Amino acid sequence: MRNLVINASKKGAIINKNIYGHFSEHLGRCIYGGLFVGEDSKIPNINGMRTDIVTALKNIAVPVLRWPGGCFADEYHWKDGVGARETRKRMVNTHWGGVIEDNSFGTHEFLEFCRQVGCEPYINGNLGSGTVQEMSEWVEYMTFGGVSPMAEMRVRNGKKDPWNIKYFAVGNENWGCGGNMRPEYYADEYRRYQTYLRNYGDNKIYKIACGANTADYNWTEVLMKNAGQYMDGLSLHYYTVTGDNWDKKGSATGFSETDYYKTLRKAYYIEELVENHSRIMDLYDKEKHVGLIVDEWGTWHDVEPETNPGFLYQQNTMRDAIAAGLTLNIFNKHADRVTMANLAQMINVMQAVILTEGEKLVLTPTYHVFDLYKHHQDATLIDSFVEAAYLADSNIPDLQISASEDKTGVIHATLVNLSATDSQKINLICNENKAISGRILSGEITDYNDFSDANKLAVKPYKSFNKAENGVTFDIPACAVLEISLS
Amino acid sequence: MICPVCPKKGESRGEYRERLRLYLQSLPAQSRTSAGEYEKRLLVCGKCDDLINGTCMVCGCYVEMRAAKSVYDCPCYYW
Repeated sequence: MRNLVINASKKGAIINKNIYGHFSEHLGRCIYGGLFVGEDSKIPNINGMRTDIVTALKNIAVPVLRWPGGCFADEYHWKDGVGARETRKRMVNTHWGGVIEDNSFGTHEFLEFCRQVGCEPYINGNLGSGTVQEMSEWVEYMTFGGVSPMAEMRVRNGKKDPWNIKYFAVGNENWGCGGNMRPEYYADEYRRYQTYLRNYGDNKIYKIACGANTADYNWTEVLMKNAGQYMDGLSLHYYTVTGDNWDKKGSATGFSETDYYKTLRKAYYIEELVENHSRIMDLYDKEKHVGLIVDEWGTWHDVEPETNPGFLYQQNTMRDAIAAGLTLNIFNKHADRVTMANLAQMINVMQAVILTEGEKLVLTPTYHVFDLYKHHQDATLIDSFVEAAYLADSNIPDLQISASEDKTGVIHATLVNLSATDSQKINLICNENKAISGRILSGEITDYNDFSDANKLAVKPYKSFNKAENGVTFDIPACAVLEISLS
Repeated sequence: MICPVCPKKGESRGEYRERLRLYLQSLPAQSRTSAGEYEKRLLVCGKCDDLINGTCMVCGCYVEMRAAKSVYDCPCYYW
């Protein structure tokens, strides 16, 4: 029997809802054939956006969506994607798959998608191959309500009133595909570009600087030292890659128990990364004004065998769900610094929450984890602890937990059992006398949903709680994510 | 998107042909589409607006691979 303690009297930071954010890039079928099918499609849509996808995303309360990249962002010129569709530039997407990009999905379409989903837009500007003027004018185009050439262009393109745009990033991966810059050089460029991101009217831009790749702590240090006072957020990118080299990342579905634990070890590494980057940020920002924005994270496996490798299309098993669950618990527990995270990517690319094939749609196990965790959004982190044993040959606890209290006083805890084989008996001790209920996702480590069996894995009600002398006892199956609610 | 060694760039024609050869070779005979059916499927794909550079934009597959596996269907139900 393992004890699980939830102590609602010890409160932590507010869990920013944006930790449950997503990322959509012009890559493979994330945008085209994914969320956007066009008004003339036989697939039901509103203004070109798939209605089944919008409905599914509303169910998990997507709070924020990053666009247009990724590497694509630093080659994206926003003026190519506004105006009459038939006049927009057609070009080859040189970053991903070499297919035609016709710019039919641009600024207006992205902001329409966000409106339908009910999420905040997070726009990533082009520093790598763009100009200060281009970036500045994009913000002016979207947010200025007065008289100016950009505002007039927006009105001509059918949008009279400006949008509210809060989140804006100044470049992406500028240490790599965004220009191969040194941190000192990027810090100076960041300072220059952000100067011209104006706040028009009531719109206040939350400026996000390009942060480190994985454990590049020097990048974080240089950025915080030289540009920390000019930013609201600093990004971090980390992918969980099971294989030891990028050419052999490993199959998304055909893997052993050893591979499973290797994936989880690598996913768990994000805790060390978050803590180390946070410590560096603390040196320059004790008050935690600058948020750590993990705007690309997730599992990255080999593409499915038949697919174009440039499309990064991979299946998604319970292994991915467990990796997502443990990662989101880590973000919750570091909510004092982590203020946004964006899973890569929303649809049909990498650790997607939704897969599509024509009119067919599959909700992945990772989707269901976001469903189980949605009640943490904007809730207050509370103290929680679970007795755990280390997984074999690692320092990773086999049970992982985070808990929060929402504005109505309801407590939600999300418990992950990482073990591939062993269920655990739990004794829940909580200093609140409340009714308990649960929802669970569980399965074999290699289980997944596909187009021929779309509902093999789904969230189910969990009712097997038993009153005990010192609390409530229950079993959590192997390879499971359980949401416990106390209301 | 992290760009470690640019694994995401489109494959060269030679790389693709080799991958296709290995893929077809790896399919057990009982999973393979018959030669006639394979040819028929590819003829349909060849006339489809969703085919770009050998890739079906509806499912993301190289059609020469997808069409070879009998259990697969066309995502638009053309075969």
